[in-house]
This record gives sequence, structure tokens and C-alpha cells, in this order.
Amino acid sequence: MTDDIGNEDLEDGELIAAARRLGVGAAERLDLDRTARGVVARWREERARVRPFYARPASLRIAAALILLGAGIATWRAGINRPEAVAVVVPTDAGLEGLSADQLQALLPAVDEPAAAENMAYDAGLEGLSPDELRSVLTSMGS
Amino acid sequence: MPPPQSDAATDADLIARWQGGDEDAATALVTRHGRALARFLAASGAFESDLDDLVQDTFLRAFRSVAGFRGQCQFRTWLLTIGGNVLKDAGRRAARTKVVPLDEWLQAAGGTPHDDAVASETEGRLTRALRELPRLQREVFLLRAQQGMEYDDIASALGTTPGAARVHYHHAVKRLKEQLQ
Repeated sequence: MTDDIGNEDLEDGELIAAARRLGVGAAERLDLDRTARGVVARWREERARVRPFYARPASLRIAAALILLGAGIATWRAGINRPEAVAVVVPTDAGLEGLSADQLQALLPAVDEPAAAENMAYDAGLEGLSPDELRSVLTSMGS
Repeated sequence: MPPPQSDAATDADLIARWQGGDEDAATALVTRHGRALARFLAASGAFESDLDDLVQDTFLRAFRSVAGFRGQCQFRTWLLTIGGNVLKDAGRRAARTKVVPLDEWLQAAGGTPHDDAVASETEGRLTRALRELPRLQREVFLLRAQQGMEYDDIASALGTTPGAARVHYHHAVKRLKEQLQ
């Protein structure tokens, strides 16, 4: 920047002098202190409005998408690894055909809990009982 | 505590301090360059009543994009070219809001007839003639003739070559002389 333009480009002194006077009055009337305060205040407000990156809408959308994706993958993997349903084998030689309807109904909760039933059968050693003994046991369970 | 501001502080110093959070440095930059910017904007066709807003908008836009300023030209030259963009955008907004063509907005921006009468005849005619110039010619002319910038500086700020800037200047002078005769 130079104030003493004196080369051949600016030989038209009147034109240049007039150009230099343009806007001088308006610029002098400008309250620069007020303008500077306005700039600083607006800049401060602008910076206060700027959110951290993790609070910006785009970041939130990405985070939500990642969470949904993770949940979907976890659900899918849980479905793949689910153990096969345990088949419940009801012994046919237990002589159930001789039980009354009430006795069979009393037996059903035990059938619905295969693991418990299996444990109970193992602990009780029922495999060694005769049909009559079994019937008496079942009758006692139903009462 | 930041060091005290002084006239000796370079623009680069002030920019660095401002980027470090020193608001006094921003104030110093506005104080140092605001009036030259206002003269440039007024000569480019801005309403005097809009000058304060336009100067503020220009500094804010400059502060936002100061990371892109690498010292390729004077800070003031760079600032004035941003001012030209701000003025152009303001003209477009005004044209949209008031449904007035941009040319008419620029023609109306010179002030009241009273202002024209107060200004010297040559200045008044020059102001009107400047509005007839293409924007690039007008900006190069004002940066050179009004602000006293070097062609290298003008070219860097406007993204052109010094030779092209010189050509724009000569075209502008030729057309202005034709208009003023």
C-alpha cells in the first residue's frame, strides 16, 4: 500500500483526487468505536452459538444411527445363538394311561418345567419304582 | 495478560492475538481499517445509513475466514475485497426484499439529491460514473486510485494477475474519463 502514487497510471490528477475524496465525509461520520463494539459483541454471540462437535445435529444423527445399528446387530446375533428348544420326553412306561383327569392336570406343571422335572426325577430315583409305586407318588403330588 | 495494543503492532500481530481470544486486538483492527473500508464501500455505492452494518458484516466475514488469509496481500486489501462481496450480497438481498432490480438499488444508493448537491460536481459525476462500471473494474480502480494499493496486492486479493489488474484499471479510467467529459 502506498499513498504517493506517482507513476504513469495515475496521470489524471483530477480523477484521482476526486476518487480519493469519495466517501470521506461518510467515513468520517462513522462512529468507529461503536462499530468496533458491535463487531466484538456480534462475534462473541456468534462463538457462543457454536456448539461443540458432539452436540451438533449431524453428530447426534450419526450417533443415533450407530446406536440403532449396534442394537440391530446385537438382536440378530442373539437370535443366531439361541439354543434349540429342549425336547421334553415323557416316559410312556410310567403308566399314565391309568391316571385320572385330575391327576394328569396336576402333572402338567411338572411337564412344563422340564429341567426341574428331570432333576426331580433324578433326585428321587423314580426309575427304580414299580408302576404302582409311581402311581402312588403321582397321586401324592396331586394332593 | 495480553500485551498492550499499539500503533506499532502489525496486522499479523493483531490477527494472531485476536485468534488467541484477545478482543482488544479485534477492536484495534476495526479502528485501524474501518474508516478506509467505509470510504471504499461508500464509493462503491453503499448507502451512508448502511455503512455501520456493512462495515460490521465485513469484519465478521473476515474474522470467520481469516484462516484462509495467508498474508498473500495486505490485510486491508483483502478486507476491502471482502467488503465488495458483502456490498454485492446486500444489494441482492435488498433487490429481493424490495423487488427492485439490482441496478436501480445501486443507482439509488448514492444518497439524496441534497447529498449530491453537497458533493462537488466532479465527485458527484464520478460517483455516478463508477456505478456504470463492471464490478471488477470499479474495485480495481478504487483499490488503486482511492486506496493507493499496488497492483501486486490488488491482483493477489482479487485472484488475478498484476497485468490483468493493470488492464482493468486502464479500462476503468478510460470509461470514467468518457463519462466525465
